[in-house]
Amino acid sequence: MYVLATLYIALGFGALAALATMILRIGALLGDCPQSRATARAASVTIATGFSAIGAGGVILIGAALPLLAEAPLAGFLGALGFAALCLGLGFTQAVGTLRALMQDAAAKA
Amino acid sequence: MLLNPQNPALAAVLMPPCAPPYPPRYIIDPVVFFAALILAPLLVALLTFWVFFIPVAAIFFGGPVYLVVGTPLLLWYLRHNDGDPVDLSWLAVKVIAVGLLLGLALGAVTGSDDIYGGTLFLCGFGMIFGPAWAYAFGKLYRFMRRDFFAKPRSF
Repeated sequence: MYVLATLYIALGFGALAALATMILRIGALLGDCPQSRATARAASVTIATGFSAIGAGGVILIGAALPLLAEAPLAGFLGALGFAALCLGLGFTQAVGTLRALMQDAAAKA
Repeated sequence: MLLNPQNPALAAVLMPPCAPPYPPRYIIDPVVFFAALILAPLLVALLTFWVFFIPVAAIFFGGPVYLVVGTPLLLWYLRHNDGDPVDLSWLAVKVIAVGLLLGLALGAVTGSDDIYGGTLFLCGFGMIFGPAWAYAFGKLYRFMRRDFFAKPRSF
């Protein structure tokens, strides 16, 4: 039970950190063009911060359901981890969409 | 000269200014999304608690199912749709109908009365509260959403 809970925390926050890093890297890639560099950097840092905060809240709240499934620890662990990964992935899609929308608006303004 | 990336003719070939071959997408306002997700059942319960407190009990029984199924589904659905409250209500009806069929099939296969009864209980009340919560979610989400997130984008 405790091993699985620790593993859940490690894998959940690992996935969150990986996805947040990817947002920052996508921001750096979009910032290769000199005109858009400032917008891309500021936007990616802001969006990655928001994604990390909301994602951390989600991972912790989903983890809070683990003790309720103590009778079937492995099913609870896999279910919670799968649900967390699903929501983090969908949130990541939205975050990158927001980043691209910001770049689009900045390009339209320039 | 022709191969200069700043050349408009070359730029038009490399990045044609036409729209992508799929309908426009929406982006979700994250803070408002989660606020509306939590507030919607509470608002419905606040407005209708006089019905023998059934809406309050519904939060305890149906709330976890609503969060587990609704969160990923709405994150996906609101990327492709504007989140009209009536559309969201229909989405809830369809999802609960699918859940009812799956639950009844599982109950028939396993022969378990618990699964049968649980499915009928959750989906029966779900057919009332699912659309109501989805409608409240849509109203709250569109009321609080910022303009930046409200326009469809083709990318």
